[in-house]
Amino acid sequence: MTLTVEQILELAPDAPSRKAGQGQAKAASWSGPGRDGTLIWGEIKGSGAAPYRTVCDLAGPASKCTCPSRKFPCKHALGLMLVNAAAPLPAGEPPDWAAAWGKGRETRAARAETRAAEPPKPVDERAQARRQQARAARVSDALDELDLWLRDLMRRGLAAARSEPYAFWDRMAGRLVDGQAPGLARRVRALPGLAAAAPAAGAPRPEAALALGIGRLGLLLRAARRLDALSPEAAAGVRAAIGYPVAAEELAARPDRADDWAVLAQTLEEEGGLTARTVWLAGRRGGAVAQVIDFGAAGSPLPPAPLPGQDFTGALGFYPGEPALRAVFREGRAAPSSPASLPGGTGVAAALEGFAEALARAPWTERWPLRLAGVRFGRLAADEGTAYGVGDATGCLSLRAGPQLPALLTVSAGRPVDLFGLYDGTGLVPLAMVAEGHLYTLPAGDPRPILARAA
Amino acid sequence: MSGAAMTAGDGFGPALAAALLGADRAPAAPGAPHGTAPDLALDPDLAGNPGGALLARLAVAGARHLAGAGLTAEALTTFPPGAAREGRACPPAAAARLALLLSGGPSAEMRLREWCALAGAAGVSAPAWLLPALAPLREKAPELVHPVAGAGLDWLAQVEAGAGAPPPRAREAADWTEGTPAERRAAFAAFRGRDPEAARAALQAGFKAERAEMRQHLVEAMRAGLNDSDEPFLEACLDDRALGVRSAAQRLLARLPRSRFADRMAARVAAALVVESRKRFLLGTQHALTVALPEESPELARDGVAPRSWERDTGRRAGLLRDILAAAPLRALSAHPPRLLIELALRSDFPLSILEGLMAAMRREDDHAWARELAAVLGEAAAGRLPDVKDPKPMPGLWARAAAALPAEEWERLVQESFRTRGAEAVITLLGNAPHAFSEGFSEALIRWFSATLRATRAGRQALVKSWAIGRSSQACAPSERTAAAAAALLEDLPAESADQTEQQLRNQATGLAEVLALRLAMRREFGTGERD
Repeated sequence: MTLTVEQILELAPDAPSRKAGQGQAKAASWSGPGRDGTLIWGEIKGSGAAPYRTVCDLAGPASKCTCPSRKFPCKHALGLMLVNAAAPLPAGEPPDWAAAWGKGRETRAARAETRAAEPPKPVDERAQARRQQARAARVSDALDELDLWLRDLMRRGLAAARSEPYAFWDRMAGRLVDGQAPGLARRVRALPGLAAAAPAAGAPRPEAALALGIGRLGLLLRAARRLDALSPEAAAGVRAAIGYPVAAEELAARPDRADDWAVLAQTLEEEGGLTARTVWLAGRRGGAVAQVIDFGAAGSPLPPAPLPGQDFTGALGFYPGEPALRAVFREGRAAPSSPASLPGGTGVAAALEGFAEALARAPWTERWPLRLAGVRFGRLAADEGTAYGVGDATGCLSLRAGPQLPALLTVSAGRPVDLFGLYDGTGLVPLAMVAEGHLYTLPAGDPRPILARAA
Repeated sequence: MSGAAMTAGDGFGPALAAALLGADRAPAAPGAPHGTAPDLALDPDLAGNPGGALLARLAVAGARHLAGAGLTAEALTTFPPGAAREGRACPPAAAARLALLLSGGPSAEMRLREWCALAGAAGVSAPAWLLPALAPLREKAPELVHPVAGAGLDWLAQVEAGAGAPPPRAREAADWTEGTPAERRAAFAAFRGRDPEAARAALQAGFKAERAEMRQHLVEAMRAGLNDSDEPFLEACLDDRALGVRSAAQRLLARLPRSRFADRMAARVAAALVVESRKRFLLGTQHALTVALPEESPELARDGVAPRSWERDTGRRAGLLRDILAAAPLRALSAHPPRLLIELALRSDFPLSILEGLMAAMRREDDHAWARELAAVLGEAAAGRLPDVKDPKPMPGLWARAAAALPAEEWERLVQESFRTRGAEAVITLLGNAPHAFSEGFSEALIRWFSATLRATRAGRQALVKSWAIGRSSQACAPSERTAAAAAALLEDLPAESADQTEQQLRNQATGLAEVLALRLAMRREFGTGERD
């Protein structure tokens, strides 16, 4: 199990770490480095009095370091992995501190397994029902308030609303948070950004974006009012969009979906002190798409996840709701896959059909993953400026402008490629591309016009 | 979202217009066939509730609009397939190295240039997924980036510029009289390279109408393909109104040894420096140098020689002498052997002015014979072996600069010689004017000299630290197994922990040298062009 240099650079939380990690990637500055299976370790002199002890598990990938950095992985862990990637470290017996960390990981994993296998604690049914009732009442109040607010907004007109200060939107979002509807609050908070965004190629015009966002809110609101009239799966989707959590027991009871899941892309987003990591997968046999989201507080490591270009052979558990998309990892293992391919890729028309179907089931969907096979890049004739697009014989759609577009064009060199991205009905935000048997991903949050070759 | 898509018949356009106005002001929705869904129209919630009704209409129209999005295949003009990649594919290790260098920030630019040079030498093209990040470097160093990334970047520039735009390389042959100043300069330089005579004729024709700054740049561009037939035009430029044009013409005329300008300068030199030789019985011939300092004059100022008011340490007229020598052709001094002239100058009252002028003339004409004589005589002067040199202090610096004008292998021989015969200070001064790249043998000898100097004396160590010579040589040393090993051994010799600041700094510099050499060696291995173990 080794990671390529590109995969290690992808692990870095930000550009400064990418650079600093290389500063630590000198074999000479590590003392007593070694490896045992997937565990690598070493000591490095930092600014502290005692040298820092760094240990990484390449299978995770996970790492621990005694340095005070709040970044995960820290520059020392990145450096150690880079050293190992340049020339494998000598095999040896791990020192006590490295072995202890490796053992601790094993015991923690084992403990989690036994906990999962234990019979669940008896639930106080009455108290639980009371709690659920109280929450439902609070959410219902918040929905009433949102309904009134939206109607007022529509009476005054969106042109007037566009000149409102941020506090106007933030107040309503705050009320929704108090009313325990965080999903709705997030949507309301995003509205002023939509209204104030600069026009960009492949993005809706600001006033249209605002109108579409408000329309989605209105639809979600109406659906939330009629939860009892919906099928259980559809209702679960609405509840997830409002922001109801899914109970662990409920999630554990969902069936496994076993497949060879191709890991297509990984994105990181910072949101209010939380890091949200999204892993996109596509089943090679079943052809389903899955989105696994993990949250980590700033400065705490995220759980390990397979990397783009690998295949996760095993099971995923899908959250309730339709169309099914969000999932969690269950049992399985990751291994490099080759040659890369995009499972379930279709032509543009079929992909747009899929998007329309997703909208028909959940019209408040903001973005939907599309898998396009055999599409070519080109230029769209537009009124204002020019936009890039992708298309085939069945149709085309525009691409959202981004720093990595030139690199996508260069790799495709005008030939047909497979493209994976998120579509919002206006433009596609590319996340990964398969060309000539290689998977290329777009480094998240990187302003440089480059791609990473994952496999 | 294009206007074409907005007016599609999904009712979103009118609904959006109404929503922008607001339900209070917008006309009520017409009984539109697809304005509101029937179940919404019957919704008791919305009766007498204009805001709610408008929201419902907007939501439904929006969802329909998004679901029906997408364009027909004809709306897209696909890009033409790109040209085949130049050279063979990049080895994975080298591609990974390039990705690392690209995330290394500005400090990695030196290595990035080296990567491109190595890739070009190995006939390898840069990996396509990193290509656009090389575009900024291409602006700075096209000769390095073009062989490894030119085709891809050209294709990208062409598709980004649109279908009708000419390929970017076609602009060079464009008319030099049009475009931005930078484009015009580039076009004129290319024109001059193709046909110097026609370019000069074209420049002369419209010269008066150009702005001063542009005139200056165009005259400077005549450096390409400069020849004797340019002389009349450049001579006329000496009377131009703009100072920049006059200076540019003076610089170019000094490069034409048969020009009137050069004749005037040679005559001034002959008047200023007179060598008198007297045969003395039994004592051979004795020579003496008489220096007649020039006077300021308008003629002199026209040729660009005027006192520099900001100079403190040179007399005004001595400065004029230096500038005259610097602009004069060396043939003006051919009456006597160079060595004699240099020694006489050292003993004169104005040694520095005369030598500075001679050095400038020597560098301009790239005259190796003069460089050898200067290096030899100044080397003796720096060692204190020449009697009655008035001011020995600046001699080592002058010697280093004279030696720098030698061909690289002669410079290396001279420095290797000085390893044995001179002190650390003198060698470090020589290294301060080093060529860009050393041969492998010299690199090894240099690193060995470093370690010998470190072991010898504390003064030598301090001189090495202060001059930063170890750190600076990392770029010029030839990366090979042996030099990398020598640098690693140099680092081994130094104590790992030391309270002494000098030792600490030495270790840092030696670490830098060892790391950079190891990195450059690794880069060569990744291309398969380095040495094998």
